[in-house]
Amino acid sequence: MTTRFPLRIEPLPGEWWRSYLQRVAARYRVHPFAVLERVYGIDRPERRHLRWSGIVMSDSAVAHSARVVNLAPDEIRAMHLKLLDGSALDFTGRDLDEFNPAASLSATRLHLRHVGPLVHAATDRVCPSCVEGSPLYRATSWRLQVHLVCTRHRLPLSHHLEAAADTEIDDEVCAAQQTVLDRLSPTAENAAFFKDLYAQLGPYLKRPAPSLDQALTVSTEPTLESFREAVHRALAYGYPHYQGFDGWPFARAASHLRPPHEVVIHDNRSVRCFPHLLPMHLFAPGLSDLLHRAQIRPARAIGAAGAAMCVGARSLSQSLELFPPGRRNTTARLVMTHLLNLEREGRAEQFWQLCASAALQLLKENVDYRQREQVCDRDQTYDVATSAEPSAYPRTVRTWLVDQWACTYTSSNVRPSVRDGSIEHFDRLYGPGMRAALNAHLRECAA
Amino acid sequence: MGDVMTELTIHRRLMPQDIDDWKHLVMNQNPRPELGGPVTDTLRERVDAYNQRIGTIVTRDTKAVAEAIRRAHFENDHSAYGSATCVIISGPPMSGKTHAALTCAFSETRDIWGRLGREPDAEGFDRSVPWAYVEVPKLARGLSVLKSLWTFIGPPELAPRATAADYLHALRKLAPSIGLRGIVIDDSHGVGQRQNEDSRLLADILKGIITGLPATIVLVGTGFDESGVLRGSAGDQVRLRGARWIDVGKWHPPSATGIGDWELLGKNLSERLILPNPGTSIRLTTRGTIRYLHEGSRGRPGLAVEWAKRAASYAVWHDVDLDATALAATLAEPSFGEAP
Repeated sequence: MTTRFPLRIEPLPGEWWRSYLQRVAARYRVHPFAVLERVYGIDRPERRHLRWSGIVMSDSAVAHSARVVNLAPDEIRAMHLKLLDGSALDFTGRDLDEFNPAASLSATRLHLRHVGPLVHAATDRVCPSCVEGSPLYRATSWRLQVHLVCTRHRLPLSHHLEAAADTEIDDEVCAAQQTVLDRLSPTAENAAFFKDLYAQLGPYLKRPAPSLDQALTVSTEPTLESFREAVHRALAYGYPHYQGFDGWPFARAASHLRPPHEVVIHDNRSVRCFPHLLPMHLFAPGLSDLLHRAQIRPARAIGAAGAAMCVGARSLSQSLELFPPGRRNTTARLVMTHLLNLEREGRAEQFWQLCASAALQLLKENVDYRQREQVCDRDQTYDVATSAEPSAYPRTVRTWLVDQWACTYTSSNVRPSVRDGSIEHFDRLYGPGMRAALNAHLRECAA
Repeated sequence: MGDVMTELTIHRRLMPQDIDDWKHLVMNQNPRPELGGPVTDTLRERVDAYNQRIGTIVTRDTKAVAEAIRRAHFENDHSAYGSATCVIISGPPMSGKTHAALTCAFSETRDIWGRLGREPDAEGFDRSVPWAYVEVPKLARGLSVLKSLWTFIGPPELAPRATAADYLHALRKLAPSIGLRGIVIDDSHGVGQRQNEDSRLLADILKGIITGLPATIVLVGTGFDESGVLRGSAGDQVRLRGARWIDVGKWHPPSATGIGDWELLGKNLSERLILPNPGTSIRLTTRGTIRYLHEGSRGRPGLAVEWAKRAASYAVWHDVDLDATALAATLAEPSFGEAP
């Protein structure tokens, strides 16, 4: 018996695999189970096989199915939710065979919600105009809770065809929805966007509060307005007050706070060499004034964190991975507190511009501050520095090496020179000479 | 020879009941082996395989069937009221009925596939199925013929409670997309063998296939009259529509003087079969050999062709002439008679 169906039934744009299987069954005038039997090569298809269709399939199952229905394997992959992995959904750490309907499915209920906010498996939302010519058509993206509006027909997706017919969608909601749909391709940036968006939509996406699609059944306008605001907030990078982070725990806010400007680099390794405290020559010109409320060392740490965030548009929590573990929470708190103040004063934009400039300069100077951190307390380093400037007070030289040369934190027993600010004066006097000697020393060691 | 035969036996038998095999059957490539070199077992194996695959042996019957199908196509294509003409091919077993029907189906399929400009089952297109071939199963009952046809074309299974009307409706919708032109229903006499309610239902379904599908139906069978398949009101409609009724294998026995169908068959076989050894020859056109071929095959051309191929294989592997002696050595019933 032939394994192939005689017809090639063209998938509709953006069609979901389960919808495609049902259209195929309708075209041949057979029950969908008869199609599953051949497509998945299983003897007794059950309802759960249909229910789990359209999530993910193994490569071998895709190849088999493609041959049966006369499609290319990529056409089948494009109809699965796995296509959204790395943007709206996250299958990381999931055993994909769990969701593979061609494999032996678990009889117990699987937790698909863990990969992202999807509408309930039994829920069926449609755009009345999209399904006009093909009643069984369902788009893959309609499974996402954050797809609420058909931007083509300007209608809300609805459980009831009649309910959506008279609803007018305004331009801003359409634009917000289009923004979401434009970000469905899997990239790190889009994944971050969806993470932020879900955080903004938190109350709607969490049970037992009504989910987004359920909320739509009650009242459309407030839900769509909330959705539009959430999209705008998710995209307002770098402005935590507008994004509503004021009331969030610092750790949670830190994982969503991103810079508005990105310094694009191709090699992330250079970021790992960034200092924990912004060097004085980068801090003094603008950030020192801007962050005048903080003491100088915390302010330098804020500047260093801001600069690290700008490189590759990292979140605050990602950029703080460069910092010593004991300093991360404190620094996150500092950044959030001062940035919120700056935003209220209308100076957040200036902060980010200065951070981006500092990041560019750090990349240009290409100094390995991690290496300096490792060697700054060695006797040999101390000897080189004191030899270069014999008149410098020896005990302050040790502090200078940590605070001004390696730009990292001194020990918890804060030195007096750091506390009274005289270290900066010391740097102005002896810094250039000691830096030149230490650079020459490091070059020799490297050679 | 052992190695060669092992190689031969691992080849898969191609079945016309399976649409997946049609590509190989229809586009059967049978290049003639180069002769003249040393006669090795490899060469013998190639010649033997070539002889087995020589394909259509043109006879009066194959011509008649081709002409009948061509005419039935014409009448069906230009029918004013959708009425359908079918072709009925009748004859005793091994008279070459199936061969004649499939020869015509393969030929037309090859022609259509040649004009496609792609593989008939190329990925990304509707499958091209110009002809379908089904066998009426032994003790057929219910919808078995329709199910066989459905299975041949390959869509997903209809619901168990589907009726004949459901099948016919679904097939009618499917036929234009796959370019269905004809259906060969082999062993059609099996429809009436049980002579009971099932038989009458099957006859009704047969009539439904002929009138309900946009394709030329070719019924192939033995003893339609005795089986009763063409009796009753449905049978009448089938029989009366079968404007093209061909009795295959009703050839006059070879005469002592003239040249008839058997002599032409011997000539065609001599032209198509080959032997690897230049010292041997094919002598299937002598009057004695023709008469022996006729008698040994009990006057059935299909059996005669199979027998000649078997004798050719014997001649290939024993380095002897392909003549009455080789035929005698490969006669299925040795006690039947002596070679002339």
